Amino acid sequence: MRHFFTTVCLFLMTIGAYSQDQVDSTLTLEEIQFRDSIAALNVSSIERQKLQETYNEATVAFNASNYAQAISLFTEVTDLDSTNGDAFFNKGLAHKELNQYDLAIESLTQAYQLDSTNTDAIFHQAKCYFGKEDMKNTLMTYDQLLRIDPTRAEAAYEKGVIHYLNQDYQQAIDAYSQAIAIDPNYSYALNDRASCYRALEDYDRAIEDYLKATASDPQSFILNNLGSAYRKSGNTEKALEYYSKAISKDANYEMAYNNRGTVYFEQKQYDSALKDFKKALDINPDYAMALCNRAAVYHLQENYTGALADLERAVKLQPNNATALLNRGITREMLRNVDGACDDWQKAHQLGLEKGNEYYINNCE
Amino acid sequence: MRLAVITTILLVSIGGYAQNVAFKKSNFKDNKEGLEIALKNIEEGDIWLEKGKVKVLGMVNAFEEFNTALDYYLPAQEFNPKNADLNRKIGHAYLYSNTPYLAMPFLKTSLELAGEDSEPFIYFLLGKAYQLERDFHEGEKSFLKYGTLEKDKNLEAYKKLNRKHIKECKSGAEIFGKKTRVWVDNVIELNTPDDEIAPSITADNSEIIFNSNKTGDFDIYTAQRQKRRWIRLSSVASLNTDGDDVSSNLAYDGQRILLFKDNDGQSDIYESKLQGTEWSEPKLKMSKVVNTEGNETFASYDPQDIKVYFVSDGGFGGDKNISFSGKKDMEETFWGQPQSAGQEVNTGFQEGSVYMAPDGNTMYFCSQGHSSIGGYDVFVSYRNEELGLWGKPINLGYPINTPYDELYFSISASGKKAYFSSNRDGGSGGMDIYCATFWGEPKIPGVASEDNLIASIASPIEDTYTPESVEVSTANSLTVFKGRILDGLLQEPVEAEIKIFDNSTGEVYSVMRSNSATGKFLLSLPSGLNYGISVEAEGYLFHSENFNLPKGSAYDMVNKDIELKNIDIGSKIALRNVFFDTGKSEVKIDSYPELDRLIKLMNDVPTLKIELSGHTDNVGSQEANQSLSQRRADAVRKYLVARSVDGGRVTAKGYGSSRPVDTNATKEGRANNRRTEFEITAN
Repeated sequence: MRHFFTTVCLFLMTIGAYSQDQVDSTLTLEEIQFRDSIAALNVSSIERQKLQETYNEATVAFNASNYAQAISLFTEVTDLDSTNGDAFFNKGLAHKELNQYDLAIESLTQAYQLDSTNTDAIFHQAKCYFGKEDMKNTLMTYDQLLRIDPTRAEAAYEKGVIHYLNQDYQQAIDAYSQAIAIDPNYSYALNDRASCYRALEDYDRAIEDYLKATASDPQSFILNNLGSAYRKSGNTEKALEYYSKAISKDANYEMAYNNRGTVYFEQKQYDSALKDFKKALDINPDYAMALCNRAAVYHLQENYTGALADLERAVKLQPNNATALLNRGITREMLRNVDGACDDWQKAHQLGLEKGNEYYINNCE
Repeated sequence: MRLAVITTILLVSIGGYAQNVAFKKSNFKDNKEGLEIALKNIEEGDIWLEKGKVKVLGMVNAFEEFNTALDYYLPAQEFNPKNADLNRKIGHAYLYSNTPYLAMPFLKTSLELAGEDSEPFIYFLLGKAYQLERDFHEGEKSFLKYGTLEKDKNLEAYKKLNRKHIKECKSGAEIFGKKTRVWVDNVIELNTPDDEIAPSITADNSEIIFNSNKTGDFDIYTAQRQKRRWIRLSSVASLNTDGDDVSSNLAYDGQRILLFKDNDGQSDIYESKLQGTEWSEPKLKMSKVVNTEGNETFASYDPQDIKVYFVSDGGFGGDKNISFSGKKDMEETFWGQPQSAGQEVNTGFQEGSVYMAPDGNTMYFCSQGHSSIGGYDVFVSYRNEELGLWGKPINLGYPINTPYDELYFSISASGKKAYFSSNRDGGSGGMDIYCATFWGEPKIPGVASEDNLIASIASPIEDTYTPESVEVSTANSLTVFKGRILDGLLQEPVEAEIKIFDNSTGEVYSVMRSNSATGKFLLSLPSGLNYGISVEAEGYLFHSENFNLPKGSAYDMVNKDIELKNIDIGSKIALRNVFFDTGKSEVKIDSYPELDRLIKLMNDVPTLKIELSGHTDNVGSQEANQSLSQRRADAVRKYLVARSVDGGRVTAKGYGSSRPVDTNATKEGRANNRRTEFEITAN
């Protein structure tokens, strides 16, 4: 509520100079002026109360996720008090929640201009540019924030995310490293930097960072990532260990079950793999990847009808899942539905799987 | 005829428990004519059966003879289905016909009807029927039983075949235990109830040429492959004649064809070439050196186009063997002497067809020998390139091979598709064309894993911002409070100290001095509160009172002139800020500021003596009011004395309602009358 009272009072003082009509001949000029100023103060006090009440109604609407109403009410406040930085800030956030990024940026800019200590306004401006997929301005805004407040580790982190999503892993590593330098226990930055190293196939560093991340924040997804890094480095035993740890941390983490299942699959421990895929599907029956994977086990166990049922469901959930189509083609072939198999392989190829083309040419031409 | 067959089968299946009924007059007294016809049919059928048996013993197919035998036997069977001999004969004929899978019920009926009197030969026939049903264990047992029971010349005649079938059963038991990565499908779009044989495809599997006797004689047909189906099926008119015309091999590029046809009573190999869309008139492919006076039939090109492999009656016993001949000049005028494909390939049984795979080192051929599991089977042999010899044939196994006949195998260049003919059960009838699809290497379905590599996406950072409400400052309106301080007697301005108290807290709200020239004071006070005001000036008794400023009096201005009294004996001052609860005499805490000011006055003017008096309104009894006013005056005195005021300077007296200062008729007046006063009694 910074400056709220001050700004409102000062503002209203300026508009409250009206005089009382009451005629009192015993009053001196100074007394009349005093009386009128008191009358003005009384008016300002009422207006201030009304503004505060409107502001509070707006916060109630905001907190109830009724952002449109919140915007309307905050606008009432800012229309009467153009110096109310808090109202501009909150209005900006409400616009952001409604993905009205340009309006959000406008309000947040005013909020920061009115209160240069409110660096959150800049942070959220960057988020808005991100929402607009304007990565250039997103990065520039985070840079601006870091110049103003070099301790904002999350700004550096968000820069890293953008670079990662652009597959610019080295720049992402630099940004994450900046975040980690500010906060050495920043587990998200450690996790993401590890993911960059993984993308660069530097699995030793990836494992090192994932381990640091899990040391400070042993969340299941980080444990899962660590398992996958071990797996990619060829250490399947460690992979299994960390997938299991992820599951211990979160018994409903279907992704870890699925991933552990794939390791078992590669180790030809089909019963264990099947158990994990089934568990993943118990947790999330619409988990298309687990459906495909369970179908793969069924297929190898020559339970082709079971495999087909899973693959049909996976394709229904994700019609453009090339792997599901390729696998369904393989299973359909074994069920002597050659036409169906050929259609699937052709589609899988059209979706970018070269294996689909190979199967089509060798079996369908 | 087909209806008769079905009816007969039905009769066999429901008549299983009847006794043997001989074809004799005593059994058919009412139908002597029918008996006579039946006996005549049996007699005719026996003739064809014997003809067929001779061929079978010569390892030659005898479909025609056995089918003709059935044409006679089946009407007799309809007349009397309970004859053991006839059932055996029908079963026998079926076994070597184009529909051998129909044999078993007749054989079982025969055995049941004849019981221990059954001919030992029934076990040979049953062995073969079991073999066809893939019951190799029972088949072998039956063949072995036949070997032990049959003593006469029949055994001698069938000894070789019996041994062969026992071997086939052993092979069958072994081969059926193995999984083969191949599917076999009936190519229904090409097949008819008649015979379709010798399919041959181009290397790219886009065109097929085969033969069918659906119009009576064997003719040559062609079809094209589109979207995995054979379409545009048509007769190759330019190659077909009134007699049998049988193609045996389409060149890999589809531009030439090898066929055989009658040439003065024996079969020779011919070749036709595709000229535009028409096949040329067939010409003898090889010289008379190759095309002997015997039969040369199914042939295959060699990928290098130097040799032709073919089947001829070249075996030691006249059985069909595979041979080859190489051309000696590019014009193909001269051909080398036929040579055997080798002892690894040719057997003492029949070899039925040959096909050279496009790689030139793989030969597919069909044979009744080797490790056949019954009838003709398809084998593959690989050439030892170093020695130039064909290696030990390998049975292609089930489901390509069955105890029935599998013949005329050809395969695409990719090795993925192959075509052949078989008279196995489940087809359209006779020999049908089948397609074998080789699975190749297993297609392993892939599995996929995934990770949440970006932490803020995996577990979004909580960004829940909750704007806080502000404390609403209630709009306390201000009231202008102004007035003058005057000498009570002279009405002249007095400069005095004015203190305003918030009676709800007892705290001083404001302190000011009145103007010495005008006695005026002016200040603003929040409305809606109860205030106390005290005024002190040197030489005057201090003045106090309380007042309310009601809410909503935003523009109100309260005027208050206060007259101060000199500290003269007899002066009376009401203590308006001394409070009691109704009917009680305990001094309330919010009275303390007022009383403390009185104590200060007593201390400031040590000569001052006062009488504290309590007053009530006229509500209630006089006695009660008198008592209450006295107790209240005493309570105030007690407060002063307890705070070091000499008790001798203070007296207390209750006057009840006897000394009102205002009317008791109004609420405000009664409030003014309820008061605590002091009167200066000495100074």
